[in-house]
Amino acid sequence: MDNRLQKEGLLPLSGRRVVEFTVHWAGPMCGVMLADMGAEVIKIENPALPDASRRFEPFADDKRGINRSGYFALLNRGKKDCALDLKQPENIALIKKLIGTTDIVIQNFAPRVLESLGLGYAALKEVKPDLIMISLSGFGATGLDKDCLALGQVVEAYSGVNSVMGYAGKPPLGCGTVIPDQISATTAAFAALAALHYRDLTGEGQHIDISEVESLIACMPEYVMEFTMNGRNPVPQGNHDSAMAPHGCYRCRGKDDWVAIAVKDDFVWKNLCRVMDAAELADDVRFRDGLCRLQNQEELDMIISRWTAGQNKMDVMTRLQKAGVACAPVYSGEELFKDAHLRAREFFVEIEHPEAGKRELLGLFAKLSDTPGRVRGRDPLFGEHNDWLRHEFRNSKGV
Amino acid sequence: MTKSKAALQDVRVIEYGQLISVPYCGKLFADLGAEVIKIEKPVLGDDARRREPFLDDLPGSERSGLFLNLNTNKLGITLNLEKATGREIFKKLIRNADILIEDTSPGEMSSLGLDYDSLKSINQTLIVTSITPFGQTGPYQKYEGCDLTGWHMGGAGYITPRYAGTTDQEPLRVMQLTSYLAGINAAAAAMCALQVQRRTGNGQRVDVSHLECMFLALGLYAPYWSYAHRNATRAARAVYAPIHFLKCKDGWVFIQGQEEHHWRRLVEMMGNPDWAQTGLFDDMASRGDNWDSLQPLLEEWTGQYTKAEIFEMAKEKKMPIGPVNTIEEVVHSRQLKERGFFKEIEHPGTGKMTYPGAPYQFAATPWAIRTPAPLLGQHNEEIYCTRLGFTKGELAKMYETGII
Repeated sequence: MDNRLQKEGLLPLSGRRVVEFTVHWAGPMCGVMLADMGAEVIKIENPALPDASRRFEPFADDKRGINRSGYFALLNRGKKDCALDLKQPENIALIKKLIGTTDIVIQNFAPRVLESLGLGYAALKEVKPDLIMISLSGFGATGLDKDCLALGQVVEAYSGVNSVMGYAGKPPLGCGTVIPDQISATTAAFAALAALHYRDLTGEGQHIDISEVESLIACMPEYVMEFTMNGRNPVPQGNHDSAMAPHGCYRCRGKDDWVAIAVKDDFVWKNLCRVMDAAELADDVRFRDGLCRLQNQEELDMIISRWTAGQNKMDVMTRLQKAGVACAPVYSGEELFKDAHLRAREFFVEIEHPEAGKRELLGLFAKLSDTPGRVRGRDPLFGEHNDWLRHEFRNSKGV
Repeated sequence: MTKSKAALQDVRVIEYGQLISVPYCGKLFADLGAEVIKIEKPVLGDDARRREPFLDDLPGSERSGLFLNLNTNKLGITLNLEKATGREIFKKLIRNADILIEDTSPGEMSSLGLDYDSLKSINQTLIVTSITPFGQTGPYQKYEGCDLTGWHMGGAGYITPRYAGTTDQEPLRVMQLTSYLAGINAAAAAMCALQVQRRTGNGQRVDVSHLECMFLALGLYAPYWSYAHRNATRAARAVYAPIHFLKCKDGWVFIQGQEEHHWRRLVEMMGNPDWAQTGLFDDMASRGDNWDSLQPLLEEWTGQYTKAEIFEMAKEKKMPIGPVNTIEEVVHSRQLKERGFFKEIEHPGTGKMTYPGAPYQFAATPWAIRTPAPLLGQHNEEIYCTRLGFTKGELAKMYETGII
């Protein structure tokens, strides 16, 4: 490893400035990925309507407060925060001064919002000709559904997710996490970096329009092409898989304790049978090859469930992993925070916050060996950097 | 004809991986113009070639929709790293690459003499991006994992299906999104390393774990333990309402109308029915408490319309309602048609098929399909003979000896 860069403290995005007009999840998550990698990220909030995530659980020790949300903290740590009324012309002038020094703007309002404030891409490009601007919205900046109010779970339904998860013939089920927001946030971070690479090379900035629906459907080709190639709507199949069996969640000892087990081939299947002390199953005509196991999955699931029931899920993982079988516990948040592997990888970081106190947050989305990036501070208080912004641009014309 | 500009036209990537994560990561690069050379095992190729869906349900290495979609714009070669000559050729390819994306189990590349330090001695600027279930370090680094285990261990299963109200139901996986997420995160991380490489000439290792990508994907639900000392769980019920699926004429809609201003819009949409004024449903908490009486009243209304009709009304009122679309409806969506999202791509194994398209629209350097996914070994001659200088005779010998 080359420690020179680490000693110098160079971060991948050192010297880059990002301005965010963002709320909730997708926009802020994109911004925090860039902040953790070294960009200076300045978040602009509406003084009359703070970022919704400030009003969402979980709050530090369950006491509500605009500066106490763990949701806000995870997605906004290490940023500066300015609460500015963008209906005031002097604030627009101030923002434009700021944009004049900015590399990337991220916004996740409906397409019309920033335009109506005079802060659309065309207006911002005038003050910063090589600006990169990422606009993230539910349906994208064009098209007949562009103004639809698209919260994450609406996008999930529209994109077909609810029709292919869950169980055939049953009412639809929803995804536990707001997956369209995370897919589009990470996709947007890659897009911003690709545009930055191109700008470094050519001096040319650009606008990037990201639709949550589209970035999500880009991650569903196996479902889309089942329809476009074979004319069939894919049928939801719970935890099952089209190529592997067994492939599911099995209940263990405890209140809500389960393991996930996936068997990729006959060799692994034999190993599983051996650990279950049921070597005869390996040659059983119902289960002897992948196709048989797929066809007799329900019986298979019952056999495995009988074996896991009453066992500790961590023991099941250890025993099966020793035999080369893919197996993992279904983790709760608490178990994730306490997991020995994540601890050994130093995945968690502690922040100290004047209102929320000492809290642990999740670490970075990747580990870079020489310029690892880092969580560069706690989440900002609402409007904490207003004075900084005014001071920074105080002598600027128009302020 | 002028060549259109591409954001990553000067970036060279070598891809050595299977199924979804590494190929999707490589696709993100390739579709923005990077040169991506995909290395596959001789004869068998990428495991994704053996995954559904197959055209007309006939398995075949050039007929998998999953593979064809994930490998557009790439150059495809076969190479056997188990053979010494194969490893020498691999090193030649590495010499000219910016980024290697790979998904071998930690330790496997070392056992082949292709560990990071060996590769670095050939190419100081190389960025080695590894995507594995658990990452390159830590006690589980060599554990077996796949999409299912990443999703569930990453905490997403514990909260899915949302608002199940019980733990009787098993935790549920959603598609193969963990694999895609890891691929996207890896692409963003590799771009960060490329920033450093272009500034300083310094290459490095990038370590991406499915487990960590999924944990981060819990977003709002991730810090519950650290902040409130409790867990988000699928056993929770919706405290506020409506935030539910409701049955309509031809399927289901999802209605997110718990907040007061949204609820008022919904009541207006329904034509201000008398029952909405009874006082039972005046705030989000009482709507949650009285959900059992509210649901049939709402479904009496939704039942009169199709999901498309409800969606149109919702758009008008700025009301967050989504139709629960089938994949067929997604493919025929007017919005997606208008934006040109789906792409028709011609491939020798299947003819012309419709693929999902760009995850973003770049104004100056458009995402573009230049070539379909490679046939197995399609670019062997181009890479081995034209670029690396092997003769056709040597190429034939490499085929015979199972090197390519």
